[in-house]
Amino acid sequence: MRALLDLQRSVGNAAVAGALSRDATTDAPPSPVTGLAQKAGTAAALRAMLGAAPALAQQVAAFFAAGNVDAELNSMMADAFPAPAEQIGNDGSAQQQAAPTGDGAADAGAAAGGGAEKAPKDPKLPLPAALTGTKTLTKGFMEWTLAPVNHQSARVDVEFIPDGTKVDAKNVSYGQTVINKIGSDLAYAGGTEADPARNKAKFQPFEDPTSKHRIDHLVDKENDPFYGAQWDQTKQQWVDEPGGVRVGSSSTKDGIGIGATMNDTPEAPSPRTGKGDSELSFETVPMVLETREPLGAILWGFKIEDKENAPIVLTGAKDADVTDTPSAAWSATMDQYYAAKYAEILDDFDIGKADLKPAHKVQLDNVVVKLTGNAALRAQLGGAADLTGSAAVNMALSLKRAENARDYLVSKGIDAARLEVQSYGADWARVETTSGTNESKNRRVQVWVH
Amino acid sequence: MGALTVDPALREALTAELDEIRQRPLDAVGFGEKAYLPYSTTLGQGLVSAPDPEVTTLLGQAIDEASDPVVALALLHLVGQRSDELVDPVLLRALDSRELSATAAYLLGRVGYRGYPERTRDTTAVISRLREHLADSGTFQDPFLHKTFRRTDFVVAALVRLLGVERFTGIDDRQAPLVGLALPDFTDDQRADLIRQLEATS
Repeated sequence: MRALLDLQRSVGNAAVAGALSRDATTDAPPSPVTGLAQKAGTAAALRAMLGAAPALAQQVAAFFAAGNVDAELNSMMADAFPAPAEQIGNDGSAQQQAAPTGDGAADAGAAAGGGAEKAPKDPKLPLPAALTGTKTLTKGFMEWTLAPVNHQSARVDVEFIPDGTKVDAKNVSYGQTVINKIGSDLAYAGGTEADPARNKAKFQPFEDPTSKHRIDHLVDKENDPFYGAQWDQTKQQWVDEPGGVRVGSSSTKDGIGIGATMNDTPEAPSPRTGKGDSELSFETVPMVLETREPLGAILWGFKIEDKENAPIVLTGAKDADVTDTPSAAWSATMDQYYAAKYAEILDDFDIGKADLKPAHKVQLDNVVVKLTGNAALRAQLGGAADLTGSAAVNMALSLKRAENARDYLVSKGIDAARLEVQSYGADWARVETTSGTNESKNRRVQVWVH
Repeated sequence: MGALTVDPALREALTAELDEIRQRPLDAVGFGEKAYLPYSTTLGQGLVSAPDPEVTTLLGQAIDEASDPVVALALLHLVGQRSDELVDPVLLRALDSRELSATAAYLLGRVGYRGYPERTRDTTAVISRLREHLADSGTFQDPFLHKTFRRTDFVVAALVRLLGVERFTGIDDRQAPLVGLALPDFTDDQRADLIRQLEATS
């Protein structure tokens, strides 16, 4: 079929029809594609059907790839997708067609998503099958699906149900690392097709020096490293991020674990543009937010060769890619997040106290310098406690620590309107800990200057 | 910048951000790393995060006065990430500009998801204004992503998302979670069908 499509590009549909007719040497076996031409009625309707149903487009591709013949469908396909001026995307939708003719034009050449990218133009280029699986891990049960959206993007859905007999967790969500490669270079959000690494200066501080992985988060917008949970200061608790995710929990008292869910739809920013193969790799780790305890891990991603019509190839997301413990790189990357994200982390508050220590004031003086140097910058002061004491006491204590830091900055001339206070109680561990432990690095105020 | 009554130091900092965007607007916006986040702004973070609604007014004025449509587009992307009640009027005004309407529609539609905050708004009025642009047959050449789109597609996508994708037929399972968030990729027939459905629901 690939050869036929190449032929279609070079000499047109009539030749394709002829070539296809020469394939008519066997009877077509029963297939969902059988009768499709009659059902569609017209080439336009067929195009719409395939555009609305990528799975059907895949079935058509598979039908012909298997050597089956349907002359009427062949002919209609040729009419529906004439070559080379008007082509549709790999998922059956109109994509990557000819450049527009100008403002106000609505001709066939003015199409959605057009660009310089050598995207798949073959409507019958099948998307790979989704990778789905389930696995019982030491600390819970993971279920996942990695499915292509098109030949540039894939969606992952993960659910982890903690084992309520083994995991005592108030909040379970995810920490996800990413590495986004184009050829031998890395790509970052904010890049361009010509310069995918344009925004490197912003992201490089988050990269683990060894693995080059970074925590997958919105650097300018998100104040935490968790994928699926966001802090609601009004409710003083972790809540679901928008988009169908859920913060889970687990209690050894009743043995019930509530699953945490996440989804993501990464996109290769500029595949097939002569800059080398695209490869996006992720490690997604369900974790207990108040202890930083990892509960499992899944490796997944996709890659796209730097060739015209190269399909998306899903990677990972197989049984062997789901493990009890994350990689060493994941933990190092999480540590790097804290080092890069916060201008200062004031830790080692005395147990049960919120008083600033001299060292804290030195750190806050550094923050004053940053804020004074750029009046457009703001600071979020996030107070936290360790996992000793009651939840109510810890929440009040963490708030007081953050307020004391804020008051110090105000005393140094910083406008209070530029300062935001948050209090996490004992619900956000910076370093891994266990319930009842006096972990000094978690008795902290983290200062996010942004 | 004269109308802005905020702190002088902040005014100076924001003016510097504006000037930088005016000088190199193509550096202000790049691609995102997610299908649901196709744009990522790289300049003007203070213009996004400063909470004073007056900053939105400032951006609106700067958009109106911009002689370079790329500058106006870059600033519009900043406006769309702000959360105050003055944002929608700026975006709705931009809907009437051929150069800005596609991006304005996109930003009106994708409110409340990953990097784009919820806003207090008159959703009915927003939908009504978007509907006025369903017949727009023009194209939009995105200077940041170097791609060309039908302007209508952004309008259709925004309306589908604001009205609820579950109300529409002909959107497959892969498209549904991304409509109004990702760059639009409707087929000709799908677009026509969605417009018919949108007209029927008015």
